[in-house]
Formats: sequence, C-alpha cells, structure tokens
Amino acid sequence: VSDVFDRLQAAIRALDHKLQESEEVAPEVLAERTARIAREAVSGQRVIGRAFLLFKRGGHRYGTPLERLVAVQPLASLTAVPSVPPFYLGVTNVRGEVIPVIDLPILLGGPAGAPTPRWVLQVGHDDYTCAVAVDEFEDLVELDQASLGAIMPTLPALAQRYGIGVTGDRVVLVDLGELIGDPSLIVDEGAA
Amino acid sequence: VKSEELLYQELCGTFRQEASEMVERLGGLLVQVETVSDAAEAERLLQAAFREAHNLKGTASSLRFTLTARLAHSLEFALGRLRDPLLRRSAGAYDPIHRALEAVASAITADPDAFSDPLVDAAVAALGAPAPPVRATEPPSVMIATPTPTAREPRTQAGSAPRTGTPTPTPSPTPSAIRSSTRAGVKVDETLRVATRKLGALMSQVGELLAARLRTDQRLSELKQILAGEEARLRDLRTARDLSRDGGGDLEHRLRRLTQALGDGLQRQGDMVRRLRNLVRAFESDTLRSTILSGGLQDDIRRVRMFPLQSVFDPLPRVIRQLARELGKRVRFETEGGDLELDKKVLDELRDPLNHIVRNSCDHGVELPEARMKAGKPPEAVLKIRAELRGETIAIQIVDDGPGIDLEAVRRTAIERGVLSAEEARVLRDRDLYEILFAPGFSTRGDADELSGRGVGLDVVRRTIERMHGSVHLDSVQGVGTTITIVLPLAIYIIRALVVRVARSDFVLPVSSVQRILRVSAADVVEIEGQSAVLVEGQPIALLGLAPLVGLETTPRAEGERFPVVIVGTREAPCGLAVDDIVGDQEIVAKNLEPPLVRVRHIAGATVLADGRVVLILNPLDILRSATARSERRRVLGTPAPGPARSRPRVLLVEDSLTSRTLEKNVLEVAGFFVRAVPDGSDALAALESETFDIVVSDVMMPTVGGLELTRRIRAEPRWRTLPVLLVTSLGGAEDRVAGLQAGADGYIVKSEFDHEQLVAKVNELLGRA
Repeated sequence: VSDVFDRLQAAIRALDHKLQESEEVAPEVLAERTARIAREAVSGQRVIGRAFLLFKRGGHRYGTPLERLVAVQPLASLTAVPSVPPFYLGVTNVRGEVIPVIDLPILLGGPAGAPTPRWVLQVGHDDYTCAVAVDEFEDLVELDQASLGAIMPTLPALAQRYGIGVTGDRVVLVDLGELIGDPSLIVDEGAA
Repeated sequence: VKSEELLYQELCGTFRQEASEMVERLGGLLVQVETVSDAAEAERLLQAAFREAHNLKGTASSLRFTLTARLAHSLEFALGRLRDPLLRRSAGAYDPIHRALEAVASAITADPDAFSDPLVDAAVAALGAPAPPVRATEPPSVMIATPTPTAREPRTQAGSAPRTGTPTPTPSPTPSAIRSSTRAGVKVDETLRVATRKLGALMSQVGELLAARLRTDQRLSELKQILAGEEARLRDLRTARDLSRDGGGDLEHRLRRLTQALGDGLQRQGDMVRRLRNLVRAFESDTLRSTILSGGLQDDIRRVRMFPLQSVFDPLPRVIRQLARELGKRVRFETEGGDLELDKKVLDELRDPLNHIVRNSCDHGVELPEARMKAGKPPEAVLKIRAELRGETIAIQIVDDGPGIDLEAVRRTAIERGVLSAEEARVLRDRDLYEILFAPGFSTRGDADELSGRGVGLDVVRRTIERMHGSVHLDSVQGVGTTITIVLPLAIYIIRALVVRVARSDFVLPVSSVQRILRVSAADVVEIEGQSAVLVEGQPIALLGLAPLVGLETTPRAEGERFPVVIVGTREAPCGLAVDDIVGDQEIVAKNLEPPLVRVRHIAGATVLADGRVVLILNPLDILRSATARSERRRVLGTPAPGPARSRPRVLLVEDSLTSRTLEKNVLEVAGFFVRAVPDGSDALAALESETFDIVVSDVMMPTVGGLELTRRIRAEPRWRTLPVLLVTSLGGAEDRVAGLQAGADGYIVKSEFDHEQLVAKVNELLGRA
C-alpha cells in the first residue's frame, strides 16, 4: 500500500524537477499526470491517511484532498467577468471548457490584490468544475485526521464549513470539491 | 463485458423513453380522431393509434413490464371500441383513454415486474377491458392490416425465466427522435437516435480525415530527407573549411578545391530550396483542405444534433384538449413548420416554455364559447403555433384569437404586486406594459398557477429562451388576440459575432443583435434629459458606454477623436454602445457560463478564440433593459404625460437675437407648430400668463431674465410645473448643462451641435409626438 504513495511522491518530485528545468511543460502532460495521480490515490484505498496536495496562493498555504481534483493546469489566460463577487478572478479555458477561476484567500475573507496566479487546480463538484488559483505547489502529503488540529474558530464561516483541519505547520486543509458547491458562490443575477 | 443484468437495465431505460414517445404519438392521433369528420380518415388514424398501443404492449411484456402491458392491453380494447361511429363522436369516450395514456408514466416507473399501481389500476378499470389473456403478446388482432412486429432476440435478466423467441416489435421507424436525459428518477445517459444518412456523411468525412493524416506522414518523411540533405551539406562545408585552413599545397590548389566545394554546396542548396518550396506548397494545400474538412465536420456534427420541431409539438394537442375540457372551452390547435429542424439541446429547452405558453393561452388567451359568440367570434377558438425560418434564426409564434391582454388589469396587478408605482403604471406605454408580464414577481399567481403550469411564470420562459441566446416578446390587440414570438438562433453553438474592444478587453456581440455601426465624435453626442444620445437620421438613440456596463474604466478620448458606436436592439427600441474599437467579425462557438455562474448581468456566455483566450459574449437584451430602465426612471420622475392632443402644438420661443429668433421660428413653423416668439424671459413670463403653451424653447443668455431664471420661475409656479422647457444655447460646457438641468429644464441643445432637424425632433420628443 505504501508503495502507491511512494510512487505518487516520486511522480510529484519528477514533476517538480521537470518544472524547474523548463517552463514549457505541455499542459496536457501535467493534466494527464495529475489525473492519473488522483486516480491512483483513490484506487489505492489507503485506510490510514488521506492524500493532500499542498499549495500557496496570495501568501497563504492551503491543502486539499486529491479525490475531487480533476487537473492541474498552468493558467493560460484569464478573462475578467463584470458584476461578479471579487473572489471570482474571471474565467479561463481548460481544454475548450470555460470555467470560473476562484481566489481562495479572497473567498475566505482576505483582501484582493495578489498577482495573477501561475496555475489553476481544476476541482469538480457534481456536474460542474471550477478552477482554484495557485501561485505554487508545495507538496503531496499523506495525513492522518488524528494528527490535524481543529480549524480555528477565528477563520471565516466558509473555512469552518469546509475545512478539514490545520496541519502542524499551519496549512489550512479545505475540501475544495465541497466548497465550490456552496450556495453562496452562485451568481444568478436577473436583468437590470 | 457488459453483464446481462446491465444490458437488461439499459433496455429498460430505452423502453421507458420509447414508451413516452409512443404515448405522445398515440395521444396526438387520438386528438385527431376526435376532431376529424371524414370516417375513412378517422378509421386510418385509429388504425395507427391501435398499432402504437399494440407495439407498446408487445415490447412491455417482452421486458416483463407487466403493469405497462396490462394498461396497453386495455388501451387496445378501448381503441377497438372507438370504431363505433356513435362512440367516436362522444367526447366522453376519449377521456378515460387520455387518462390511461397519462397512467403509462406511472406504469413504466413501477415496472418491471410490478403488480399494481393505484393510478394504473384506476385507469384500467375505467377502460372496462376484459382481463388480458395469459400470453400478453398474442398476434395482432383484426385491427391491423399489415402486422409490423418482427422477431428479435430479447435479452433477459440472468436467472429469470428465459423468454427466447418472444416477438418484440422493432421501434417505430421514426428517422430520428429525441430522448430526454432523465425520467422518473432513472438516470440514463443522454442518447441520440441518429439517422443513418447523417452518420454516413460523418463517416465519409472521417475517411477524409484519415487521408489527411496519411499525407502528414508523407510530408514528414519528405522533411526527414531534406534534413538528411542539409546534414550532408553541413559536413561538406566543414570539410571545405578544413581544406581551406590546412589543406597544404599552394594557394591556387587550395582555391580550386574551395571553389569546387562551394560549387557542390550551391548545387545542393538549390536542390534543397526546390524541395522545401514543394513541401511548403504541399503543406499549404493540406492546410486548406483540412480547414475545409474541419468546417464540414463541424457542420455535419451540427446536423447530427438537429431534429424536427414536431417532436416538441407532439405532446401539445393532448395538453390542450385536456385543459380545454377542464375549462369548458373549445380550442382547435394547429401547427405549421413542424418539419423545421433545430438543435436537440434547443428542443429540449423549448419544451417547458412552449408548454407553459400554450397552457397560458388556453387559460387566459381563450374565452368561453358563449363569450366568443357574444363577441361575434366562432365558438371554437384557434390556437396556432407557427414556426418559420428567418435568416439564421427560427421564429416560433404562438397565436391565439382570444380577447387580448387586458392592459388595465395588468396595470392594476403590477401596482398590487409592487412591480410598478401608480405613477409609473400610468405613464408606461402599452408596449412596455407587455414587458411587465415577463418581469420577475409578476408571474401568474393564484388561480392561474394550477392551470398555466407548475409555477413557471413568463419570467422563467424568458430566462430559458435567453439562455439559448434567443428572445421572446408579446404582442396583443384587444379583442383580436395575442401573439407570443420566440426567436432562436438555428444552431446555438455557432453564431456570427462582432468582436469589440473596450479598455483593452475584448467582448463579442451576436451579429443578429447589431443593427449598424457608426463612427461618431464627442460633438455628435447630445444630452437628452441628462442622458447621452446620438442622432441617427434625425432620431436620437440612447448612447451607453460599454466600459461602465462591464465594470471597466472608460478610456479618455482626444478632442474630436472619432469612436465606433454599435447600435443594438430592435428598430423600435435601439440603443448605441460606445466602444474603443471594432476588432472584426467571425463565427464563434457560443458557450453558456456554467454554474456557479448561473446568470451574470450583461453577459450571455463566453467563447474561446483561436488563440485560447476566453472572450465574453454580451447580452444585448440585458443592455437594452439597462438602458430603458434608466430612461423609464427619468421619464417617470421628470416629464409630464402629454396633454390633450390639439391640431397645432403651441411653442413659446424665447430668443434675444433677432436672426436666431427668426430662423428658429421659421423652422418650427415649417414643422407644423404654432410659434409665439419673444425676445426676453420677462416677455415670456407675461406671455405665459395670458396664453397657453405646450412647450417653451428658450435661449440661456438674455438681457433681463435669462433662460435659467425663466426655467426656475416656470418650475416654481404650480400651473406650469409640467410644462416642458427646452434650452437652446451656445454654452456647451458640462457645468452649463448641469446648471440648465438643475434649473428644471427637460432638454438642453447646444447650438454648435444643433441642426434644425434636431431641434424639431427634440421638441417633438418632449411633446411626446412621434
């Protein structure tokens, strides 16, 4: 069982290496690999811990379980959308699909203004997906729920609702797949 | 490998879809049987209906849909009884059959292997058929002239009693039919039944694609040869260099060898260039072919998704019949253009809105027979759906010959429900009142709800249609009837679009919504009641900056710089959008924004351009609504309703310059106004005391009482509070305009941007004359 996990980590390291050596990794390669990693993690059926992808955005550190991740993509283009809440950075093109890009720090109550993200994490909820802005990826780790601290009551309501826990080095783990299904994210404006 | 169980489940799913289609067809046939007068025709229709029921029974029992089969058997029996002409002419005979058709939905949900369902049992009892024989799939009875069923091997669940050899009728030979995605909680992947003809066209294109692929391989091997040649040349050149460096021998010898090497190199290079040139040419022709090919593929795939509109019309006759009987009305339903094809997705989305509109029409749009007779109309109302192609769009009109919309009732209801204030309701034009019917919050509540359809209001109808990049509007003539027109693009995916740029961002507008494009400069922009407008053929058109609408900063423009204005909307209600640049027009693949972005104001969707960028598609209807919302507010707040019509409106012209006064007086008189001209504000006030005027047109700078002061005094006097005042002046600064409007003027024309047509148009506008 741990063999699967070791292979995942090796894959992430290889990916890191690849990224460092060249900026131009074909997005398909990345997407394909992420999808594979995510699949393996699920089919690996580890009982003890859960695999999380750790990333940074706007100076904050987050982690999310692998199950709902659809793909990791370099952010190719970002198109701002008028009259939507500021946590929607805009929409982007992921293999021909137009999906919204969400800024996690703003959604969780932080200020706007972080530079345009380099990456997006595509996350699925039921039959739609969103992209979550990422500045850099940190690690792929396996964590045991028992080892996690509780979400601080000072964190905003959305973090309380979809937070899984906080790691020893203060990474907030959030179930992004659930989070993007929250009704407060829905934009459904009538005509003026 | 699929297990038998899975296959069986799949078959059940398919049958559930098919059964619903059969019920729709059967219901439609039945309505025709009831209405047709010719006995032979009725017999033929009855035969067809009987065949549907029989097929339903056969397939149902082969799949162990026992309840459905029992119901279908009873249907067969009841249809057989309708051969009696006396019974056929009694409307009461049809009711239990229609109820039984409705019960089919319950039966297919309860089946397979269901024994009982209250709705089905009641329906069967009402049809009064004797119990079915043990073998539910007996050969067709006398009703059928040519038996259609053909034997097919049904797949049964593993472990269940095998029924090999049980004949199963093939699905009815509709070339293409629609299947909706979910029904009765059974989640089935969306499937399309596609005509072989359409698939054939696709297959041949795929063959072409394969050929293109082979050509690419060939080009690649050619490129490799060229590379090998280049490598050889590089080797030769190196040798030549080495020779020239330390080849030994005398200078002349070295020079000769060098020249020879150079000559060889030249020849090789010439050869290479020739081959490269051929390769480039071949690639160019390949590219052209694949462009044509991909275009063709796109078209063909689009065609695969196209189905006749009739499939959406099919369930309507039954809906109307039932509703009419419940309400005690008589309605004849007619359709036209059911053979037009539309994208499957559009058809699926069109179902509910059409259903709602049709129910609405039966409910409100049609009078009781007595009322119709009293109004001099035939007792039977006609409800008609007419579909026709209009360029790249399809127009679907739902027309009734009922009483029309009661505008007073709409006004009352709008006020009651807080949609409009009493004042707003009074001044709104009829056309705008119809718009109120589509407003959220106005939707039919109370009694209308039960009939007009499951709580879906006209606002939801509009939303659904607009989500498909279409539009819906209503026309009504009191006493004559109501027409609702839905206009939809033929293919929702591919639309022709205008790409515009504002504040360095690109947006697209559907070309279908663009009337024309103008280039104007700031001098062409006039202020009308504080709102910007451009004059097009003498008519002012509201001008909005696109930038603020989409949350961007307006780009500052140099003095006299011309900028493009895109006129969108209808001929009756146009609106100009100021943009920075027109990038071009192209065909785009339109996509809706997906949840969680369900609906974003001013945005209809998005498209991905060739370079991978996402560009938003503007929603011209939203923009128009934003524009009219502003002008309505203004109108309601500021301007009085036009006074009683008189043959010649009376204008009080106040102007100190003799030349201007004479000129303007002439212009206004030629335009049909009675004009009283005075040289100063004080004279104007005196004239107002002694005579009645419809409008005051005044200069601003005047010796004793100026235009602003005059305006203020007019506004201060209750008698004249609603009298329109138009200021005409050479003061073009923004502060001057503001000062004029603050004083209470209704319009402000700057002489530098003023021509006579504009003056007349403006006066007409303020007087509410078209």
